[in-house]
Amino acid sequence: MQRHTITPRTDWEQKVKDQGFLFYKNESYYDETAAYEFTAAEVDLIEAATADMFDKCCAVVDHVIKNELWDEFFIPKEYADLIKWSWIEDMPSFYGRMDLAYNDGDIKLLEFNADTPTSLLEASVIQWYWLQDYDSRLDQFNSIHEKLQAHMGVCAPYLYAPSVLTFACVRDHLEDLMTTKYMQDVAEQAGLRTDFIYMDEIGVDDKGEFYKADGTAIGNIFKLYPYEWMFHEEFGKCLPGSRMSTLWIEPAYKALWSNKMLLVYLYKLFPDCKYLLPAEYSAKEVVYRPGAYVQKPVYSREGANVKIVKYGEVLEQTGGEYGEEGYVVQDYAELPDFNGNRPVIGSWLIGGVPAGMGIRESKGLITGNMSKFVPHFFKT
Amino acid sequence: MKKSQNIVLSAVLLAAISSCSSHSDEWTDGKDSNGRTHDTAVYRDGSYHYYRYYGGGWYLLGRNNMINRGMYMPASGMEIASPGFVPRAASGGIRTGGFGGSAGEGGGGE
Repeated sequence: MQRHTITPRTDWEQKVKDQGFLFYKNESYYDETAAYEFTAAEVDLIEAATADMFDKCCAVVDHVIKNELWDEFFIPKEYADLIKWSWIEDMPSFYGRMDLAYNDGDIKLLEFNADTPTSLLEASVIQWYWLQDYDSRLDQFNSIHEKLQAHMGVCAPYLYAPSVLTFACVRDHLEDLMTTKYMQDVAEQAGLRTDFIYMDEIGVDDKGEFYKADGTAIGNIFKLYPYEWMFHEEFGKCLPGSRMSTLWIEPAYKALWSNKMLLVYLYKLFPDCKYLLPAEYSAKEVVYRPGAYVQKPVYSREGANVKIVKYGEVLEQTGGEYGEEGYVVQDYAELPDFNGNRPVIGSWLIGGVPAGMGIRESKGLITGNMSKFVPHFFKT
Repeated sequence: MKKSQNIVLSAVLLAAISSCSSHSDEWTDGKDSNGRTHDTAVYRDGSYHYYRYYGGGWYLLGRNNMINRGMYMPASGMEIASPGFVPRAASGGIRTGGFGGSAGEGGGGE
């Protein structure tokens, strides 16, 4: 992996806006002054590691269900059957993103954003168009768009009647809106009938069935909104009882993968896997632990409440309001350092199949919402 | 070849792009003519519920510290203190607003 300084396209701002990337200015989120180059062998390695870790994530779900580990994952018991059912019935799933540390051929899983991953549009569309302008003869590990479209077509026959797929996200959040609209756009191209509502417009009737406010039943819904929140909100209690009338994408078992306890159980089940870092649960903040480690709340988002400690010294930490459920303490994986820029690879899965990657780099050690998206390519 | 052969963006995304600059919604801060808000917290059914008084009634307060008059009917003080109270939807018999309250500035994606 190499980082190249490159010249941005003269009209890049207008181009990315025309492609739906309206949130590129958020904290200077998009950087076209650099690009990462990989070898084809490195890309093959990342692809194979992603597939292997996905299989292991599936094994963790089997293990949790078999051993009823709901308390260990801080899943309210009333949702256990729903999660179990969504797994056994293999309910449709569109996507997920594994965040990987890649350092000189060594790959480590940092976390799996399986339920509500973003940075999709930039990985799928924006860097693809960038490459067309930069040098269309080069290749890129990115068939996210065409795999997503094909996979949505595969899922279409499994949608509930009426087979309209509703897309939903929160209000007043441009990144979420454009990510959701991109998903909806791809679904339309896959031949699905779609519509869109905001999360707070989702309604229920007195039987606990889901409707839109105009009285139209919601048969199928993609939500860019995490189960860990839905389970604790008022309408969450309607999810189990309405499962035969409303199909939710992503499916409920994603609540196990987007939970940091996944890292603990991956390591428990596969301690010899070269892609996994030792990880354990701690109910309280760690006072002392030898070596270098990262402490992450069981439920945390966008790098909040993360602390990196090396030989007793706090190297970096972020604020936030997470940590109530305790922490996952994971060995620290060194990120490569390109003149102060530290890239994390977001390896995308579509329908459980590796489909491409997007790179976000940070000046610090923690990749959060201040990181920048940087395009990549490789030579065949 | 590991990249998409072709990418076409179609009507849904293009419509979203053009509408986003003029996007507005029905949320309001609910301030009175003096620029003040009147809030209360009610402990009910095992947790706190927050309401803001505006225009003659109490509205459920969203995480964005705003209320939505298009979504709910106003409720009286007695109603919001009653066990099992749920806000009445502004339209029809379908109740909305039971999802979306946990989102902060970071949105629902990550």
